[in-house]
Amino acid sequence: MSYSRSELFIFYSASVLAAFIATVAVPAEEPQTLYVQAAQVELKAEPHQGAKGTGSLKRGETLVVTETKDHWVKGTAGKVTGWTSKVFLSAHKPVGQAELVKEVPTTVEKASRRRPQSYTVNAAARGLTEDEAVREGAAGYKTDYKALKRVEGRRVDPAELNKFKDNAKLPQ
Amino acid sequence: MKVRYLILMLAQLLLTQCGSLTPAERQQLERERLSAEVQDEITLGRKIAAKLLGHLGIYDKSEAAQKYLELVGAVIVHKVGRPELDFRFGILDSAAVNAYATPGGFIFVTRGLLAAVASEAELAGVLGHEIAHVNERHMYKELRRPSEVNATESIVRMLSMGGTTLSGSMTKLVDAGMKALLEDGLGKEKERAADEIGSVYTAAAGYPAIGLATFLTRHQRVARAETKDHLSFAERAKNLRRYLSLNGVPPQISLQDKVLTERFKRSLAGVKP
Repeated sequence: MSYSRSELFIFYSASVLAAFIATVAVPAEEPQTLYVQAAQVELKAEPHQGAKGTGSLKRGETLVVTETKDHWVKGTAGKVTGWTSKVFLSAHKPVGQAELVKEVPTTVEKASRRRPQSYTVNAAARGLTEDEAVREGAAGYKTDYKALKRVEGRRVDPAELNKFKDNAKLPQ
Repeated sequence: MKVRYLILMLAQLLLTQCGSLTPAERQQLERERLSAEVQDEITLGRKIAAKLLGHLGIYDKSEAAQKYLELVGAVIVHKVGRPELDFRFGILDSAAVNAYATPGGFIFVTRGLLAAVASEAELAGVLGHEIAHVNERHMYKELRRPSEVNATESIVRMLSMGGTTLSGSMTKLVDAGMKALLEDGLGKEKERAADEIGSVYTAAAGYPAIGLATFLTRHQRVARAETKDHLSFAERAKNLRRYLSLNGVPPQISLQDKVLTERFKRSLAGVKP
């Protein structure tokens, strides 16, 4: 049995479309789940900064969205319901730098498709993998990597930060 | 025609393979996508930061001021900073009153700005604004707009399975970033969003959310031409006060706590405009 070119084209188009729908289609009524990106957020009884608190969520915990108003999001997390600003939330799970480079067991075939950058992000953050020989560019601004590395080399001591906050009664 | 079949077969194969991934592998793919984006942000942000430092120079005459800047910034970042980034804070050797953020978490203020802020809350307000630009990827999104990607680049990048997510030459992107920082700004909407989000950040960190608004009000005589975002300080202060009022943040909050005032004055005493 042989197929004409147009029949082959229709066959592939239909199968690609079906596979696409099966893979990515999401029911419209599925509630949206957002992850807390901030270290901690307070949920409020009303979409208002001064409203009474109903509970708090920590980074990585989820909120199932039930309502939105301007930049405020109302949601449920376990037994707690309340409003918070959407600027503290994200559709993706928060990832630390260590989490970004973590591997999961997978097949050799799938591993071969992996992007190499996922293992170099920390090195890139330290400036070890990129080529720093950027041309001056049309605007002709000079570069100063020596100064940049001095800025990058500085670290805030966590104990000093805690003391800095405590002294001014800022929340930990 | 053969090429079309080939593309369709490849697409089908790709989609079928996606369907066979385990949840852990899907998460891994998502991490890899994020990883690539974060790497691009940092790479681009570093290059722009190096240009900014080359253009204006680093101010290193006051260790107390540098440390103080880092601590105030860290208070906010610890609460709301993106956990995948290391935020860095530096002082630029310029008398102009300004602050800058480049992708990946590089934040700079001028010595002019440090001499102009009147309280720790005002400085926190300015830093909150810049941290919001980074968290929201304002410049990064602007520089990697899809309109700059042509069809050939897209195909090459897709087939490479590992190329950068950035389009165009790095030199052009860095130039565009510098132009945005020094001339064009990021546009009214992004500046306004950064004002609002930054104030929410500073409040979350324990500072009065009004800090940025009071700073903008005191410096509202800065000429429109000197502001990089084409919104005058007066307009920004007015918008921000309205936003804070609508969201229940009391406008009258004292910025002059005794401890905050003492360490603010002590740390920035040596900085001259």
